[in-house]
Amino acid sequence: MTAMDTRVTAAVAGDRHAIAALVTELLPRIRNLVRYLVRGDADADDLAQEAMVAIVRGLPSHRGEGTFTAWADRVAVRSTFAGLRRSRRARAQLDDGADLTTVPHPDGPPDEYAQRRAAVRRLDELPDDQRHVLVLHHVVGLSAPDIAAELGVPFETVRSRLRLGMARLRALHDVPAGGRP
Amino acid sequence: MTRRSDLDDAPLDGGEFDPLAGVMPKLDDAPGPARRLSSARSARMVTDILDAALAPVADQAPPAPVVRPRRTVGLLAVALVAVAVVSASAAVIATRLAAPQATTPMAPAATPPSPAPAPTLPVETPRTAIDPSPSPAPSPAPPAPTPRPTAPVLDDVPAADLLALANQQRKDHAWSAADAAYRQVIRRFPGTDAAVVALVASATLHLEHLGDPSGARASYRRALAGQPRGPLAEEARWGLAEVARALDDRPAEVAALIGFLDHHADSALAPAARRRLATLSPAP
Repeated sequence: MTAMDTRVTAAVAGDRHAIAALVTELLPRIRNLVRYLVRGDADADDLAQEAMVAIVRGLPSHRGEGTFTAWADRVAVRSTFAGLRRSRRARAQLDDGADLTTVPHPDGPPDEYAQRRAAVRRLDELPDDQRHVLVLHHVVGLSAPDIAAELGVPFETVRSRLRLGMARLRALHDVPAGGRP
Repeated sequence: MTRRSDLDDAPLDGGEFDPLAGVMPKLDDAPGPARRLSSARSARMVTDILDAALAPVADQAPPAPVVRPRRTVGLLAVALVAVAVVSASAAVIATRLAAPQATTPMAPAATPPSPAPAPTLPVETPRTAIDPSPSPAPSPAPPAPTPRPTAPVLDDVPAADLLALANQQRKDHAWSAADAAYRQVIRRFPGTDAAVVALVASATLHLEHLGDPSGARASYRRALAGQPRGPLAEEARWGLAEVARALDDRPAEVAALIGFLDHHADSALAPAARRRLATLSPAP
């Protein structure tokens, strides 16, 4: 049993320290996932926080099927989509606030961070339906049937959105983020 | 749930070579694309999540609350009290804050009646906004047109409501006012979980916004002294390292990082602590 498994078991049983450790460990992952899903930074942390709350509250329903992170990802995706539907402000979330891409980060290679920030800015230029399919497939790793079920759309729609999204992303890939293709 | 590996034989995008494979990687532990957070802010977020998720009252809240806070600070309020109670309490607090300000001239920033050696606070925000008339302060010729009681008017406000108020003020970037509210919690509810939360929150304010790392250090130390193995001990120990870094006190930072790793070797911050330690004291 891994340290994560032990922590999850204790957390599901209600051990507050284990839950705190789990939240600390999961938070960066969930923040990244949510940021992939939502346009701009403005609401990302609020939605990530709601997703984390949903995960903690959903712990008793975790049955240990599959990996815990996959389960947590799924809960976070649902929570985020619910938040976006609620707010209906997805298209108004563009945020040009200060970024720290030029500041070296002690926790990771700055180049990789900068690359991911650039990638997500390109994602920001995609329609939400294409973006969500791309993220669920490439980032979360869901299958097409799962994506279709998650979004409540037909399988062929998933394929179509993914194809269109990839084409758009490839076009954007050749120009700097924020520039013109 | 079917994972992406099931699709390897039939890629959804038609099987073309994917030049973006490295641009949109699967989720991992590397930073990005979410914005970077300071460790203190991250710790605060964890605290807010725990409070929101584990509050028993919030779990049983009615399904149609009037307010559904979206901000980080708002979630803590939800965690601490039921939404209806928050609304009611906020109204009470607002009323109480407004009343004395309307009738009592602003006293020159009185020293807060804290029994602890409080760190030096900036005085740009009148603390009377929270504690309008601290009784121990020797006030020369108080006007007192009516025989109003001079005791602090928030003395009967529960810790949860004070924390909610402080969080709201933090949201509004009223750093000093938020700190004053946290200090009320620390002073009035010593030894409680709420006091430890307030100590760590106050320390973070002093470190990040009030330009007072020394004051932050005092609060982190008090939090640790109160609950050396508590849920926020990790954040407090990491905060001590950040304080030392802010003060450019390398020996203290090394000691803090070693202490952090001694107690929290499995922390998500442990790799960063080790890297920083290696930078500060490179192996011969």
